[in-house]
Amino acid sequence: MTEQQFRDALRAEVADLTASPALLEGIAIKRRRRIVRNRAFAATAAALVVIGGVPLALDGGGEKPAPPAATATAAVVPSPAADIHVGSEATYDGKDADLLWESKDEQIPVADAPFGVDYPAEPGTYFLAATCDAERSDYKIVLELRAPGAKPVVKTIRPNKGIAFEITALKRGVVSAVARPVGEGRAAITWRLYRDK
Amino acid sequence: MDDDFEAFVTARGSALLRTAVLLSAGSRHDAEDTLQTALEKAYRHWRRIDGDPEPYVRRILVNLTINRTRRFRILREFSFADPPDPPDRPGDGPDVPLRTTLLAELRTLPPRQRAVLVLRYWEDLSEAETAALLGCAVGTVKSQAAKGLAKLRARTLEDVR
Repeated sequence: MTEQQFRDALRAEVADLTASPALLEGIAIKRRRRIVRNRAFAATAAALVVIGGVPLALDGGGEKPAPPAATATAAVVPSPAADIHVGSEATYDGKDADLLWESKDEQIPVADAPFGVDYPAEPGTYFLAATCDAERSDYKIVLELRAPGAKPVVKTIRPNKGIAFEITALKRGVVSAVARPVGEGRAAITWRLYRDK
Repeated sequence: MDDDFEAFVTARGSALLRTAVLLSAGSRHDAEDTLQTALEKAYRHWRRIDGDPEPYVRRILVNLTINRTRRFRILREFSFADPPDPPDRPGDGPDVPLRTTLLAELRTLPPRQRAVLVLRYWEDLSEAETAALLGCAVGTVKSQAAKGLAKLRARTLEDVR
């Protein structure tokens, strides 16, 4: 068989072939399937990170724990062994501490339900600094703070007033904060959680 | 989908399907599936393709077919219903026994060697173009084409006799 015979054989084999009119439709189906599959993979990966990140952070496996997810706050049994002190924002400026987490100007409409943050914490001293910027001066946010082994603290944040909490956690657990907006309009709140070095 | 892309598929779909069928050694089902996947991959980057998109699509097609052939050595699909016999097509090229044997033997070649033969003798690409598309040396294309043809020559002559 010569090269030319081989060419002729190949040509004869596929001479009658034409693409199906459904080719474009098939491409569109494959495209949709890929998008759905990628979304499912991304959701699964995110879920695995969340599931795997919490025990890792609790065990001290990483240098810094995973960023917290905004969830409802779990109840913590109070104990006099640890405490939460409230001061002004000026009492703590973040020096000599590691910034663990910072919120990004969450806009809070007054009609919204309370929102919160849970942060897996090791025993140690933490600082939560919070500020609120609101459209109206009568807007305020009621902040409820819990720490493992400490009595919960409820404080009100008024617009443009900073507040800081010193949190002493004697045992491993979850530092949590729940904010409840009171008033009309919208407000931006910034939270920063530090850990003392 | 983009009008450009639809126009390209409409204009070049049949030619690409023929290449895919030969790369798949005659399996139209596999060829259509691979071609759809190749075109879907190309569409993801359609706006960034400069000039003629066909070489880009062809390259995806060849790589996909080689990968699938390797994978199907482990995981192979079998059809349980025999397809009907194709009608005789007298006078449209080499005789049918030779062609049937040729495709069967083409299927037994390693996927890369088969791709070299299809690109060289069906697509009429030069040795340098084939080497660039497959990402190998020109010498490799020459040797693979010679070995592939020699195997086919020996086997088809034996079978047709």
